[in-house]
Amino acid sequence: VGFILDTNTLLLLIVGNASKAYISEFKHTNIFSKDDYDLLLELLNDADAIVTIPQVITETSNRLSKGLTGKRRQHVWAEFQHFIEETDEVYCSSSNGSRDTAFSRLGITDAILAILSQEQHWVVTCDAPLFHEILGRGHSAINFNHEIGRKIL
Amino acid sequence: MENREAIKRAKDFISEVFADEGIVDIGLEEIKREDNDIWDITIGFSRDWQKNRSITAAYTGISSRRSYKTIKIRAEDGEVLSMEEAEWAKN
Repeated sequence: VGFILDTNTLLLLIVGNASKAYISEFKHTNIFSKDDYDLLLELLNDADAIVTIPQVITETSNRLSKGLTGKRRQHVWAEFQHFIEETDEVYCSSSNGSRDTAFSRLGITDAILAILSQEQHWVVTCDAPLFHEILGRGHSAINFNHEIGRKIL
Repeated sequence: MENREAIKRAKDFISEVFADEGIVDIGLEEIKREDNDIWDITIGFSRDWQKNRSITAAYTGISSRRSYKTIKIRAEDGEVLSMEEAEWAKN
């Protein structure tokens, strides 16, 4: 099974790879803890492959471009570049995405993720509406929040 | 207050408020932090009697009806400020 990370989980992976200490400092990852990063790595160990899509890379780039300066920015962007170079991209045209029923509700990125979930790609997300959209289509996805919640009794 | 404390606070709050409704399968659905002061924690749960009445549940054990509540928690002291139906679950 190939996993596709949604933007929120990819941000956690990239920032945590640079340094776990950055997770709580960065606006777009400060909802997570260092333990959540370790949990994500455990989860990804179960994947046969990790793939990505251009829309997620663009969203991630946009979020990483604000709020990081100096050495932190260098570390994080080096990890981001490494991820891009090492990860295969899968494609679905924006035209197809815009014709999907999820497009007007969830946006182009989530519409394409929902489409690709039909092709044996498991989307790993923290976004409940996207998770339920994929499940509603009878496909598989992982709500990473479920994994976090299971650790808290 | 870190995320795990806020999540535990939200789960405990839901368990207390709905204690007499036999809720089960209480789980974290979504975490947001609009600013540094407030956590928005969405918790999902099912009611035992809803599970038992579901035809689907008879075969799969999975409830077709589930409730999703967003709890606003003040990060400074863990005070629960509000609870409402999750925005995305209203439709």
